[in-house]
Amino acid sequence: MDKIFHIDILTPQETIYSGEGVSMVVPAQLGYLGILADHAPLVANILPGKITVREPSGNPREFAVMNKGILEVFSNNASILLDNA
Amino acid sequence: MPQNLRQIKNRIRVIDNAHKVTSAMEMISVTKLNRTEKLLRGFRPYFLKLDTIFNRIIGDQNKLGSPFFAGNGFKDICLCLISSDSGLCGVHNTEILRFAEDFIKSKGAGRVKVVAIGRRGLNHCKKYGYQVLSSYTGLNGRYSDDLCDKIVSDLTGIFLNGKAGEVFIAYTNFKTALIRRPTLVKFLKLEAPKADEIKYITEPEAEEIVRGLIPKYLFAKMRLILLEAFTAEHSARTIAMKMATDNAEELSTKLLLLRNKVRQANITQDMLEIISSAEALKG
Repeated sequence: MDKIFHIDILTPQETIYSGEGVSMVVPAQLGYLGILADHAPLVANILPGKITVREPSGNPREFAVMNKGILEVFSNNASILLDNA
Repeated sequence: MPQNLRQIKNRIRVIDNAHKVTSAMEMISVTKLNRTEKLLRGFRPYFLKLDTIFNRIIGDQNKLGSPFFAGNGFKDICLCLISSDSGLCGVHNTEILRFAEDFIKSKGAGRVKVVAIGRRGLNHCKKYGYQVLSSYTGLNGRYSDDLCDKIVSDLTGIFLNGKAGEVFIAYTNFKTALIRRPTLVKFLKLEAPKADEIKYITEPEAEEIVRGLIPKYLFAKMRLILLEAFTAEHSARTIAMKMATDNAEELSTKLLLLRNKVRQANITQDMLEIISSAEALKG
């Protein structure tokens, strides 16, 4: 079984996604970044693009993001904070 | 209590009018409250996350040399005082103004400069002769990002230009509809926590990320504070208006009973007079 980690995707208005995931691909400043469980502590700027989260059921969820933001990964918690539209 | 029938009728009319006005104001406040409360509830988890991330990465990147951390050595203090524009909101303004007054006294009135948000705070400061650097009025508890942006750049300007060494904000914290508390937070200068260092991998360079993060953090902090203060204002007003409406209703019912009683007494009196005069004529 794949290891899972917690993912939060937040905007100033609402929580877009909050739940477990197996993997996540995000558009970072220097190109797309893949995150798996047990990732080292990471902070990265996020550019507009497509965020893909693979849920534990194997179901991929895609979020089209039009704003910049910031990603933090720390002890199996990944948080994406998106700027205002 | 007036005993004359006409006086009572007038009184009832006046109270019914007041009742209409306060219940309309209550409804308006409820709508405004719902709007800001929704914004606030959506924003709190975001700010909490941002705050955590910010503190963690700052703990890591302490020796950055950003002017926001360094401080400028000035002794003066800037107090950003958030009150409401209009009254009729119970003890909301009284509490925050008394709170600010205590703070100013404790720091020494000569050292404190004020940025007033809301007319009540501005008038208070003018009355007591505090130095007001700038003021924002006519907001009526309506939040906008532009407003927040303006206030942030104003406050950071005051700090960076050396008009004040520290910037505090006094506002009313909205816990629940019934619990609102005057609160003081330090806005600038920023202080790095002495937390355990976390070695982050960063993309791009950590310095660049922090440079981008500081204005974002300040903006988010101000946004949260404004939303808290405005939500607290609307909730205070909603409750004050609800109480006024209830009081008016109660008074109106009481007066209605009194009116009936007086009217009945008048009729009885008239009847007695007619009967007794009829008796007298017979006799």
